[in-house]
Amino acid sequence: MKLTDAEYQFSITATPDLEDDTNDIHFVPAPCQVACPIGTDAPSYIAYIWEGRNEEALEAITATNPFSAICGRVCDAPCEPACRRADSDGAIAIRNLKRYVLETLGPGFALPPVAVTRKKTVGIVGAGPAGLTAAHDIAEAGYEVHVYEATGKLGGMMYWGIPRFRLPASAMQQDIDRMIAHCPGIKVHLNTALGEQVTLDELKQKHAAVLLSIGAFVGKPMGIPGEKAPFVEDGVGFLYRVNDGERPTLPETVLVIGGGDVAMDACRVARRLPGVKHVKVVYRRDFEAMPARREELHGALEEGIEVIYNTQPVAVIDGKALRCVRTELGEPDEDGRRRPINVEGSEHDIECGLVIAAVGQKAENAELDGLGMMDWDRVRTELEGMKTTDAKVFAAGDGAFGGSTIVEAMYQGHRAAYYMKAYLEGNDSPLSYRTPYRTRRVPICNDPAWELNPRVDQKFHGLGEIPLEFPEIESTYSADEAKFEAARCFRCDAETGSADYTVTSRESIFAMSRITPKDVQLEASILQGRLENRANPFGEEHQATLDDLVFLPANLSRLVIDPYREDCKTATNLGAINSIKMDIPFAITGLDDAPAEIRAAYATAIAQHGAAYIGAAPLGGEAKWIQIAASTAADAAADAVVFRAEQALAAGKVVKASAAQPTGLLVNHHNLKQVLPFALQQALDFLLLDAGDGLPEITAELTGAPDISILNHAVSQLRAMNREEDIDLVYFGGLRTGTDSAKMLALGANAVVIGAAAAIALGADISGGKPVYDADLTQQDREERSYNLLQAFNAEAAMMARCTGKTNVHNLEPEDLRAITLTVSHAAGVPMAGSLNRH
Amino acid sequence: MIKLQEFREATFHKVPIGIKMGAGRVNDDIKIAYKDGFDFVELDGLQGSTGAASTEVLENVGIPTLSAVQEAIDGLHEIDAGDDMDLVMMGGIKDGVDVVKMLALGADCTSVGTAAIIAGGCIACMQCHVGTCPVGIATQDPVHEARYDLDRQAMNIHRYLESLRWQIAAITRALGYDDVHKVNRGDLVALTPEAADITGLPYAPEHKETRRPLTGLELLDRKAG
Repeated sequence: MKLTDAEYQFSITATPDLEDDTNDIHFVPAPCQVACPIGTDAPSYIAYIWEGRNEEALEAITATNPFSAICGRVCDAPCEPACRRADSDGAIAIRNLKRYVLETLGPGFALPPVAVTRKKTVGIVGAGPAGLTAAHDIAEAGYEVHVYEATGKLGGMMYWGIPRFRLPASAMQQDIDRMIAHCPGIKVHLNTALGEQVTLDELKQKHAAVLLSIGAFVGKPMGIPGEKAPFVEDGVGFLYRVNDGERPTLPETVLVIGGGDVAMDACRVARRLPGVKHVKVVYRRDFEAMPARREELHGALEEGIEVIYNTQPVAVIDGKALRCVRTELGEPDEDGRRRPINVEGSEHDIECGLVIAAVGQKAENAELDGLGMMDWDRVRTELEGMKTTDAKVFAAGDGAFGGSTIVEAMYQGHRAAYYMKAYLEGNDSPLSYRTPYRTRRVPICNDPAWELNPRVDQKFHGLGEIPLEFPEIESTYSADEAKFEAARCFRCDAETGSADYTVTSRESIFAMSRITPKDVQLEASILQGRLENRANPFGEEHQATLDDLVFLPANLSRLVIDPYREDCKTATNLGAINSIKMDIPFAITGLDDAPAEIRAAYATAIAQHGAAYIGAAPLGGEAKWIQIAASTAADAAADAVVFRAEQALAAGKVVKASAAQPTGLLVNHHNLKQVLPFALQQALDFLLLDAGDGLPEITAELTGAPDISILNHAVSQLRAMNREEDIDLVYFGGLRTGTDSAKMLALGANAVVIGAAAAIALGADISGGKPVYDADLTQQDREERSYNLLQAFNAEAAMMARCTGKTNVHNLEPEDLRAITLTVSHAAGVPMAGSLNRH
Repeated sequence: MIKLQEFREATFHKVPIGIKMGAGRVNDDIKIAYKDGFDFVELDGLQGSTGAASTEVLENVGIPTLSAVQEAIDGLHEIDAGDDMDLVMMGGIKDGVDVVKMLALGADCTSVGTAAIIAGGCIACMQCHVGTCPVGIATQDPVHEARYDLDRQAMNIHRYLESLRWQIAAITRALGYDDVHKVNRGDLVALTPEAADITGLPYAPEHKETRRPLTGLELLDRKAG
């Protein structure tokens, strides 16, 4: 069927948006993020914690996870085994860091409410993690969502299945309150069970779509003789009544059968109840094969619970014992785990007063069974589309796909919501859902101390002083512990300082080193990816920048100067006839309107380094001053004066304050050609080449790239007149480092001017196009920074000179440079690296 | 030259002796190296990258590896010494594609540094100089060294080299050769004006099917198969 344009347009917009950053070439989702079913941006929140930006961390955590406080405590955290640091000195404690943020900020954190903006409504049966996550997503899209919950509480297995010493009610309430406040469109109907207080037909009539997230609340039987209450109780039923507030007195010895998370919770609950002296877990496979999360198992062992491995119950001897056989592990079966085989003649009885069977759960619902919508122990559901046999009815969670974890249930909730939103908008075959991966692009931390910290484990309290009160088994980090733990993150997702080994190329090398050499298909696919053409980073729009010039290191044809052998000279005499003497070839500009504190800091630094300030007014102190005389006359107190070239040209002469005062002109691209002969004729000392075009303002530096060709033009013109020695050149525009400066010195400048970089160094906010300083630095900070800025510029320039075999920065020459792009080769008049002798 | 003679005597004239140079005035330096009598020259282009160097030097000193190989080949040809001295190219060589291109342009051998270390667990944090390498490579602190699982990382590097070999073989065969050293300049064209200018290869943008670079997720997909 061919769609009309309008329908086509609609079909595109009807695909629910997924916020995803995987098209960013500076981002590769880290292994922890990929391991998380809901794609939690763990690297970003960890980096924010390091920076102390807990609010941003909270945003990153809660973006895809409506149950963050819950997950901070009880998520099975598949991210942690995936962590690349797991194999060396332990994975980052990703889960506990989440808990730290939620405990620090969580209860007060609210997202703005989302109003109901659509007519259609949705019904959701079951308020567990799958159902509520779907409710959250659908409500966020503007629909009213009615949640029907059989019990009197929201949370499903999170509320009824997890004991309070692992997950206190307050943490759960925090998440639920936040969600309801954020999504007022969610209407909750408690004590409303499907098939009792409400039927599926009613829901289908009331709502445009229905989601069945009924959970798996019925314990499976062990399937052995004698299995009957009250001597045998099922694990979920047991947890349910304890979470409902019961604290039954149990017999002295309790056996828990099973090796999953329910078994772990059940045995730890039993351990805390009155009357109990011994709790033993009976599991039919070995330690390695046990599905329970390692931490839960260790917690149980710490609390004095005994685990009997390789043991299979075969009969219940009512009121007395459980008859078991020993097992050996045989061949792996369908799910890849080795099948336990009973050892003949190994029958033995384990005496006990109660058996708790935690061998799996199933979904049950008489109404759905009657409608033929059940498939044995779950709702018949297609994973693609999350649809049941009824077109209007979707399903998710344990009740649809079998027992799983909270985060997996949330994934299914997101997935179901995605397909339901598409269905509600009339799109019956949307693109397949996949977990979106986002990044907050947090820079990596660069503290050299970051590597001194080992993994910090959270404090484990076990049973606590009064076990029956179910106090929490562990506490989270202090602010310092959290920061140190966060600093351990390798930041597999982000760019480091290397331009060549970007995150993408790093991951590509990782891929090559993690595949089996015989896996030809994978080898081929990696190679094919590498053979795809990449966009030209130096395309037609590419401007000539100083980054595209490189220095030629000294080697056999020239000798390298080692810093310990000889200093690199930087003394600068600026001016062909009269000159201003500086210790370094740097001047600072752009501070005419800066606050007094900033000016004072630079006045000191400039004086200390023997640099100069260029501006309309002097900086004060001992700082040398090169006056820009725009509307005023030359100031006799200035160490040198620069007149605007247009004004001087128009006047036909330059009026000096004194014959000995070094004098120059401020030149730009437009007037360079005219000004040069004029300046030579007037016997001026120097030209200030303004590539940013706007001195004494530095705004131009902040709004666009400088046109560096002005220096090349000036030098070539002087050379053509054979007058290179007769006037000095000072360059201004876009210099960020001493390396940039060294490149301009090599191209023929006698000194260079630092503008925006000087402002940024003192903490100026330049986002508005002009520097704005705030008061968050101390004056001592400012003094240190301004001193360091000039120090660093000078040291870098000297480093470049030495690399090329020079002992004086003024000996740098164009021949020390090569271009790596044609645009810069043209603009700077420097030959391309590699092709010199062929042109 | 005197040093070279010392080395020759110390190794009983049995071991080939080369010189490793950062790529600068390669056209001149290679001629001097040839006159000095080295058996081979190892040239390190701009893309070479040790986390111990200053960023400014790392990104601003030296010419690109592509320019370096071309200047070296041209320089040796100018003195009719094209076949007498071998050339090992390094600096940003990451995979089989890089290797084959270098060999086709005239290098005799390539060398991988950073890429091999990354294969062996380096996270390219560029902080080698601090001495507390998180994975235990650039450190002499016993606590940090203990983090490095030698056997596992050796296996990773092995897999990386095997993958490199596989890629080299696949490209060589696709070009119709049975020996990677038979791949030559005739098998290459330049896709950017810069590459054409540097190498003197024909500029043939018509061969370019411009696509965006591979995204992180696509990389992951490839990893997963």
